[in-house]
Amino acid sequence: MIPFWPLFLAAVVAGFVGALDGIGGAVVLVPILTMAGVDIREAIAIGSISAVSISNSAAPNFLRRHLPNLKLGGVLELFAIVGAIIGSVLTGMTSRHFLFLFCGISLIISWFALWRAWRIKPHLTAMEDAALYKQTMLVGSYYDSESGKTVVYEGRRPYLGSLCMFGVGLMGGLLGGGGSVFTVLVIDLVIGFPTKVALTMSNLMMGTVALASLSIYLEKGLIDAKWMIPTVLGTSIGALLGSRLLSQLKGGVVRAIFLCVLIVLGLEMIYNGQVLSR
Amino acid sequence: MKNVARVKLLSRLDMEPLLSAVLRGGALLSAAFLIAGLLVGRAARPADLPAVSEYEIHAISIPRLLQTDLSRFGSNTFWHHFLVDLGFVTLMITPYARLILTWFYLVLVKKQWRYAAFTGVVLLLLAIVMFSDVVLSPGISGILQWYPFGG
Repeated sequence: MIPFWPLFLAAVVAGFVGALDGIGGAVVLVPILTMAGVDIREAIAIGSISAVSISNSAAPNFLRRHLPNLKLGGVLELFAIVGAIIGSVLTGMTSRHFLFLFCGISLIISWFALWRAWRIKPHLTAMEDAALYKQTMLVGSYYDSESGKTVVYEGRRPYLGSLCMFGVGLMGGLLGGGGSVFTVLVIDLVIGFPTKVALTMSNLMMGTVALASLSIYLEKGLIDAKWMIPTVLGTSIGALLGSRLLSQLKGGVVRAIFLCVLIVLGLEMIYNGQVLSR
Repeated sequence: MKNVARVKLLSRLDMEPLLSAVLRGGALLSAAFLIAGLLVGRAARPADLPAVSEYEIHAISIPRLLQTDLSRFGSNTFWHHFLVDLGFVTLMITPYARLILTWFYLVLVKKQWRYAAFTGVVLLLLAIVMFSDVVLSPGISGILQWYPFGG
């Protein structure tokens, strides 16, 4: 059984890392909780709570900088939410070893997604009338403070992206987060938006996608107040600090540390899954 | 003239700062309720409560959760449970409020019906799972009998 303060501190770390990297706290909290002996289904529900909490606390800073593409976000959210509702129902039906394996493999995939996001830089284009390009959901722009230029980007394959987001929602429902690492992957690789936009869109969307799952966990009675309170308070503080420090810290350093943690946790979960299946 | 002024005012409205304020406000309010709930729980211990917040938040929907809490008015644990549950509900309502604001902005300011329709469907789906008494699990589990990983 995990006491209040250790979980609170873990949630602060999860919120901080989540806000810096545009991902939900589930990838950090679910393995910690399960290793502490919490049932994986209850850990998944707490993961959903952390995703909503991080999104609520970190997204305001990104919105003020006009980074997320809200139009495409609205469309992708729809597909992800349908997937999340189905995924949440399957969480109660799936066996433990499958969930462990699924979580582990998902973390390894997340590792690749983040590694790619770290390496690729968005292409910069100077535009005179960016407002004109904001008429469609696949085109957008934002001011990049590092380069001092307005970045205009154009996406592609919206239908394939929407279909992928259904799968992302399904995984989010099963894993307990908004599936934010996969959202980054879809928006970046499939739709072709800059990584920075993908990270912030993922951060905003994971709140609503996890919300769909969370409602079902509430109905199933998987939310325990003694774990919910430190998680919400910790992730709120962590995400607030993380989003404030985002512009001051070198993202590469933070991501490099997190990538190491992520791969260790992913392998640990796969190991747990294999042990349980014997 | 009034309509022209109204249109000009609306066109100058920027959605992102509004959404930002809603999310930030919701996060702060939720944390405040939870801290208040914790403090009340601590104050009532050890005579009235076995341990701080050792209970399951379980309800078919958000209105039912609050209804159950209110029905316990007068009991020793009422304020503790009510404030903690209110913090949880505020956490859940916040992203929903962000979507409602987005929908109004798309309809009233931008008049972009296609995107408003997508956001509207998202709102409807979430309203069903959050606020209605529709139990999704048994209905869907019947359909998903084929699922190969059932434990």
